[in-house]
Parts: sequence; structure tokens; C-alpha cells
Amino acid sequence: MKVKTTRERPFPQPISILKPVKGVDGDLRVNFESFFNLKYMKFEILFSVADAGDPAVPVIQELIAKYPRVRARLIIGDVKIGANPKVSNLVSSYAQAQHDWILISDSNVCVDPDYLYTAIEHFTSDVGVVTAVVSGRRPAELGGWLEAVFLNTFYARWMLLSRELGNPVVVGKSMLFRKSDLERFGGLKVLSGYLAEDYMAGIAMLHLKRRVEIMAQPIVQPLSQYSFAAFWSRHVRWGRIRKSQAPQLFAVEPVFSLWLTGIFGALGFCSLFNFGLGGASAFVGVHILVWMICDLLMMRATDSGLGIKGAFFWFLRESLYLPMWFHIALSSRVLWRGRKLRLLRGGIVETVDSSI
Amino acid sequence: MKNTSVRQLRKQMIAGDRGLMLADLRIRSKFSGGQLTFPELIDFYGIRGFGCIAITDRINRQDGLIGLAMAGLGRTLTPALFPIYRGILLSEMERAWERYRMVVIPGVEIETCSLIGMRKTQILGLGVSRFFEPKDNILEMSNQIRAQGGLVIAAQPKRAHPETGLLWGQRQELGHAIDAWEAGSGTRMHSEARSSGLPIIATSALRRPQQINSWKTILHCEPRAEAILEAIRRQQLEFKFYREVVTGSHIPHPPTFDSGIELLDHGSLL
Repeated sequence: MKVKTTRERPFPQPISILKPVKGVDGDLRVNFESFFNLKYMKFEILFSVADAGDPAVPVIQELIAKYPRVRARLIIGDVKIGANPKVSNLVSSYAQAQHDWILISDSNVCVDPDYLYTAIEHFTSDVGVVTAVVSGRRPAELGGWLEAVFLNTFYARWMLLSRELGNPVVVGKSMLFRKSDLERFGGLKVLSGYLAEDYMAGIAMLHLKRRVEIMAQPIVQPLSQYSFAAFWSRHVRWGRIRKSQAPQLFAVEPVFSLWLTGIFGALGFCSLFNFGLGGASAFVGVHILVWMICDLLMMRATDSGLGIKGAFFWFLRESLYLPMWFHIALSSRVLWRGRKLRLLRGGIVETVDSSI
Repeated sequence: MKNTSVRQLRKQMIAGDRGLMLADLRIRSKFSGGQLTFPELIDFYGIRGFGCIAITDRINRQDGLIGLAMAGLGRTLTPALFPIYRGILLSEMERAWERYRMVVIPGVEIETCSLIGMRKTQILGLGVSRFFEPKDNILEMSNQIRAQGGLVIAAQPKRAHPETGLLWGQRQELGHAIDAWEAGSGTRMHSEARSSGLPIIATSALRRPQQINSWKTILHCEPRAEAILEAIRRQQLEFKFYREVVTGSHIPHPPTFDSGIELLDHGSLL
């Protein structure tokens, strides 16, 4: 994806960056440091952790000391206003944010110095949220590779398609909005009842006649330490959210997967032209090749830097889709940020056990 | 009241007859298949000088195939969407009052339906702000609405209408469970209901801006939600046909209230 840079900065406004943090991953310091190196007219960073013993605390304190000219604070303690632990973690920092313009940014993303300017220039009077495509970079482990090919192919494709269809999806890794707009539908209190608080914020904005805008520039999620277990559990969580929000669509999802479209296509092709098993195999082979080339082009467009090695992991990820779909279908429970949660119809979430 | 313009009506209100209020009591927003969002509805009615509107988004039964399909198509409010709906409703009610001195009454349009049209009934609950699952039993739903301090309105009670024939046909038995009947709905006035002596109202049943050309209720009461519901109970109201030229899906913005807007004693299709 070509980076769109423009000198036109219509109305830069001071921004409060809220970073909900839980634990440490391998790239945490690099990711956080990228926010201290932002070039912007006025901003503050509010890190929030639920527990003072969180291993991320010393990293945050060290960075705050290292960059005294950046207005940054660490806020400890969550306020449970609903079942969503991320929203509970955000309550205090949201209340203490000094500016109307709020950017919620997950701890696992890394940004360019001009990120805030790029984000805010997408804001026009009819925009409610500016979000971004996430590009997975620098994978090292199996889970990282699988996540990277997912983010740079399937996920980026559907994000951009949703924008073209006029109904873009909001991604919580990067959400820029006005506090005053959020308050118009009840603010964090309302969002705390959903597991996909980002997606629901987008829905609410549409009902306020506000658009969701996707930044031209993707933000980066470094994946140097990302295990297969982390990959699996994250996608099972996302899948169960999809299942609870639109069970009808979830039920037909596999029909659009690499293998089932190939098999159905081959069956149709063979019955139409009277080919045998050889013809069907050839059809499936060509189908996979064409699909892979399209996805490799997509990876190139997101500047993922995954190269041709990504093709192997792409094939592996696509082949894991159906077993994962069955795993998702088996239950409505998810484990997230140390809490066992149960998803109800429509994406509403309730706590099953918070003592994990 | 003779044919009059909305501006005259507003003048009368300002001059001292504060009890007059132009009202539209059945409106669906984008939450259940309407064309306009809440903010658009508030501005749409506010600039036209309405004193009261009731937003009555539809709730279908959620446990059947039709309910699932309706939810999937965004044609019904769902329990999951309701917190956001309520949040927007509350903030827009406040804005409507501050900006236009217009009262917004929260409501619902409940539809119980089966694949057989004859079993489909529609009732409105005015003054209802909590979600509840529709039941097949009208009496049970009526109790649920009244428990919230709301009014139960039988929608479109046209005898020949397959959708609501059930309710009108049983008006003797169900009368005690219904607070008013929707005699005027859209461009049509149900003469039998109007002359029946039963409590009645008129609404536009608006989903698209063009449907503003329809029957409306003029209320004689203070601009407060409780007073409005009481005025409907006591039938301190009259009916007018609101006529305005609206083209396409564009939302018109009348520069003055007396240009192209009329309130007529008799309805007509434009």
C-alpha cells in the first residue's frame, strides 16, 4: 500500500492517546517508544494498566523518564463498568484525558512519526472515527508468520472491501474520535457491554450520521515474538465474536474459504465439462495458484516485506481455516486479558470467571 | 380548526395558546429500517415546527426465522443493539428540547408475525424506554407497556387489512388492553375507527421523508411527555393532514414555515 503523505493538515487538534496495557510482549518497548517519537503539535500519552504489578509498568516508567518533554502519564487501576476488560482498563485514562480528541491505540502497534497528522487529516465534519489497516511485520516464529500473512491478506482485503462497500469496520488498534461524539451514544459505559467495542463504536457512529474513515497509511504490528498459541487463541476469539454478532454469516463463512471454493468450483467444472479426477485436481491447483498470487500482491501492497517465504505460511494459514472454524463453532466462550467471558447474541459479553 | 399553515399554528402557540402542539406519533429510524438516523429525524421535524414526535422503532420476536432475518437485515431493534439505541435516544431527546423545544417520546412498534399474514399484529407502545421481548399474547404485551407507564396503541386497525384485522376484529374483547387506536395512518384515515367513539390518534408511520405528507395529531397540552400521554388518554386532540412537497430522497429544508406547508382538514394523496 502506497503511503499517502500530504502537507495539507486541515485542522490539527490536541490529541490524548490512550494506551490500555496488559503484560509484556517482545516488541513492547519499541512500540511504546514510537509514540514518544511522534511529531505533532500537541498530544499526551496516557498508559493504563489494571494492576501495579503488571510487568509493563517498569518499561513505561523508564520511557516516561527518558522522554521528559513528552507529556505522558501512567494510570494504574481499572474501573469495572462492564464485562469488557479493555474498556474497564480505559475508564480512568478516558476520564483524565485533557483533550476532546481521543486516540485509542493498542500496546502492540508501532507507528511512524507523522502518524497523528496522517490520522487527523482524514477527519472531516461528517467523520466519526478514523481507523487504520494493520500490517503485520517482522515475524520470527510460526505464530508470527501466520498472523502476518493473515493481517496482510485476508484482513487487509476485507477492511478495504468494507470501505469500498461504504461500511468500513473500526479496528481497536487505532481509533481516533471525539469524546463529545462518543458521549452522544453513552460513551464507554455502553461499549463496555460488548466484546468488540471497536466494531460497535463504528455502528453507533453510523447511527449518528458519522462516517468511519480508514487511514491510507497502515499501522505496523511487529510480530517478532508471537507464538502459535497466541495466534490460535486470538483468531478463535475473533471468530466467536463474528459468530455471536452475525451467526447467519458465520455459518456460511467456510463456503468462501480457499479449499471449499476450490472443491465446489472443481465439482462444477468437472460436471460441466465431463472431466475426471485429474481435471478436478488441475482446477483446484490453478484455483490455489491464482488465489495465492492475488494475496501475494496484497502483501506487497501493504509493504509487509514478507517476501516469497510468506507463500508457504499463507498456504498453511488457509489450510488451518476449516479446523479453526470448527473450533470456533464449538463454544461461545473466550479467554481474554485474564478473564473468561461468554458471548451472547449480538456481541454482548458477560463474565464467566474473572479469577483466572 | 380550519385549514392553516404551520406558521400560524406556531404563532398561536407563541401568542398564548401554548396548549397546541403538532405531533407525529409513529416514526421509524435507521435502527429498524427507516431512512433517517436519529439526528436527522430530530432536525427534520424540528425545523418544521413540530412540538412532539414519538420515535417508535420496530421490535420483532427474536426467536423465529423471521426475527432472525429481520435482525440480519437491520429491520428490527435487537437486545444487543438496544444500549446504543437508548444512548443515542437520550442525548437526542435533550438536543431536540434545547434546540427546537420539541418533546421526543420514546416508543416501540411491536410486530408479532408468522408466515401466515393473518396472525400478524402491530401495536405501538408510547412512553416505553426499556427493551422487552414481544409476546404473542396482546394482553401480556399491553401489561409490559403499561408497566413502564406507556400507552398501548393498536396500529392500523383497518378491518380489511390482513395485518391488523386481528386487533380490530376483537376490539370488544381487547378494548381494555388498548389505550388508543391508530385511526389515521399515513395518508389514510380509517373512517370506521374515527367514528367508533373509541380513543384514536393519527400518525404518519414515517420511514421515508416523503411520508411526511400524511395525517398528524394536534395535541392540546403542555410540552411534557407525561402531559402528552395524558392528552392522548383524554383525547384532547384533533387531526390535520400535513401537506408538503418533498422530492426524491432529499431531505427538504423549508426556509419558512408558510412556504409550501399546509395543515388541511381533509387528507388527499399528492
